Amino acid sequence: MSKVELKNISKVFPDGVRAVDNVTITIENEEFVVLVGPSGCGKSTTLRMVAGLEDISSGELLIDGELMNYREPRDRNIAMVFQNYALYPHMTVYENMAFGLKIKKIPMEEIDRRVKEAARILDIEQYLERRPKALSGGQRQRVAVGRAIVRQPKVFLFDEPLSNLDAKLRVQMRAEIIALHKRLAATIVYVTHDQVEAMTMGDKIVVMKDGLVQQIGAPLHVYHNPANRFVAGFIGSPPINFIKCRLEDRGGSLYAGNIRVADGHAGALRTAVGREIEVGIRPEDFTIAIDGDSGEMSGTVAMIEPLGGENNLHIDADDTGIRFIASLGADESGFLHLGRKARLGIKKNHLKYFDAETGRAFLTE
Amino acid sequence: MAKNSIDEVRQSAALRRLFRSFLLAVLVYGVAVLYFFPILYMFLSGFKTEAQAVNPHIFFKPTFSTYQKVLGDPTMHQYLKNSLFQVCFGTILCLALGIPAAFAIVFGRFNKKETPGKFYVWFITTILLPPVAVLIPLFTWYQKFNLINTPWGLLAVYVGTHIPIVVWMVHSFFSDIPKEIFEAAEIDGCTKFQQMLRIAVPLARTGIISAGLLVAVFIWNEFFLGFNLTGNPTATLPVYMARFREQQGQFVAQLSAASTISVLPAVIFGWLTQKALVKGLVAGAVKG
Ligand SMILES: Nc1ncnc2c1ncn2[C@@H]1O[C@H](COP(=O)(O)OP(=O)(O)O)[C@@H](O)[C@H]1O
Ligand SMILES: [Mg+2]
Repeated sequence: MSKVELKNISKVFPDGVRAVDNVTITIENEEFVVLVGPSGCGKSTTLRMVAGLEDISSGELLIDGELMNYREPRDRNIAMVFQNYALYPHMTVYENMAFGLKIKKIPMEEIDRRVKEAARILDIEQYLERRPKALSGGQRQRVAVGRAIVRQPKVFLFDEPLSNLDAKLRVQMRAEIIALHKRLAATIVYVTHDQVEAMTMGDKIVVMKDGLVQQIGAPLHVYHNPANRFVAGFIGSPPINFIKCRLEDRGGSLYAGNIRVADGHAGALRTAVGREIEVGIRPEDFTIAIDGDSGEMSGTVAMIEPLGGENNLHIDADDTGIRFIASLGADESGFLHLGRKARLGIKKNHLKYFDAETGRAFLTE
Repeated sequence: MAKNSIDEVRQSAALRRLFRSFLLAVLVYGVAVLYFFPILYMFLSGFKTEAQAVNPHIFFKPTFSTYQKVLGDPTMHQYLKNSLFQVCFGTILCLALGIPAAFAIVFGRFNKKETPGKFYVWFITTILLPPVAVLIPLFTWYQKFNLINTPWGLLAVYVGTHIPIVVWMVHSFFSDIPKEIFEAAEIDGCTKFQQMLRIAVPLARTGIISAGLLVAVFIWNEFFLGFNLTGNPTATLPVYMARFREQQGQFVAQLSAASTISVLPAVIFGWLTQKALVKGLVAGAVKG
């Protein structure tokens, strides 16, 4: 059992920087939680406070209900994997993995068993006698993960472990870490700035910005129900399109600019009539307007990114001149060549609405 | 035509390069010989008889009798033992105290961010302090506590004056180690002391060895403090050399032989460890 609770945790550095601001997160036993956000948002600082590498300025950190604030890192029973691996350069792979166990005075046979087991799982058995210097980046990161596994900690902490790897290796390691999580039934806190990593790996993601938690939830829930404009823009690739407009009541129906608000959304938006809002349209929520239909948006195709199964069309809107991106099936959008007029429909039930001033979402679930 | 001219250009460039490196070699060897000559002459004079040594000659019939005489001298043995005592214990103590000091300066947690830097500056400035500056107070206090002419008294001074060199060199090596490695060790269960012993020390091996060698050579060669704080039974080799010259200055060959013996360890050390030593000395500078 290992449950991690961060209660109203803040970090103020001596120079006055408030890197983490009143963060509350609960990480359930065996849960894979990803902290995600742009660089400098306080993800690493949060993780390092859980590890005990940074003092907690205020708030409480509990692991299995026990207060951890004043425990040394070595007494917290956690393991951490660093972005730059942080292997011990003067030790072999075997010694790197065995080191923590030796310090803990675990019997040699037990150490040997655990190290060999981890090496087998991570497929680094043939490198056990090498020094880190003689390994590739991917192999080094495996060793770093192995060093964490052999400790059998309550909680695994990962700080951008894949950032130094090339794209292909990153995808592979991503899958391996997911598999490892299942196999070890481990509690994992994972930090990344890469929203794709967050979406694909986490049971739960925590989106952060400027030291503040923006939203916590299952990846798809966050994707479909972003709590604010920032989350909507940060999660999703290609990114969501925003259209700034005024919300109007025309004869009982609500209109956001030229877009008629879906009936299901009207209730929640009615209080905002007359206000400036921003409509968020995911690229995949566009459709090709068929024959008679004039569509909701029209514009000129300015750029095409063919991805095989679908095309990302960059389109300059006729009315506003704003460039937006639509993801459409390759077959149905095949006729839209560069420079052509495109008429597009919108899946109105999928639209997101944000207060232009505060960025808060109007529709919350 | 064009090919021809390219070859010509190449040839003349190669010639010019050759000429330049030849000039440089002559210059370098010239300077080296100039610097090395006194040592060489001293070394050779030890193989002369006293009669031969009076006149400056490079070519002569060598004899081992002078070296034998000097090495067989029991007073010489006593001073050699004194020197070895100071060098061995001095170096070990300097490392034992200087390494933790450097570790604390680089990796210690201080309330104020500038504190470790201040400590470091204090260590460094004491290197620059001339020994004369501290001799008078040292001498009066040593007299009061009966530490003049004791091996432990001299050892204490040597340790004190040479720790900054260890701190200085090891500090720059420690600074090169990524902080995350210690954080990983901390999470792996290491205390601060274990982090120093099992991570920092092995990783800064080169720096520690060269710091140790440098300190050993400095203590071996030290004259001024040794001369002023010791008497006959506790003096070190350089002090003995000076007294030897005062008392038996006319014995040039014996003096040369004794001097050779006293500089030999330093020369051998330096030669064996020149790589580590250079690396240790420039480590901080390169990182700059
Ligand atoms: N030791 C420190 N002293 C002062 N400010 C720091 C320190 N470490 C991080 N910060 C600041 O705290 C903020 C969050 O940093 P960090 O947690 O590393 O961000 P992230 O990991 O999300 O990129 C940044 O603005 C950073 O400059
Ligand atoms: Mg970070």
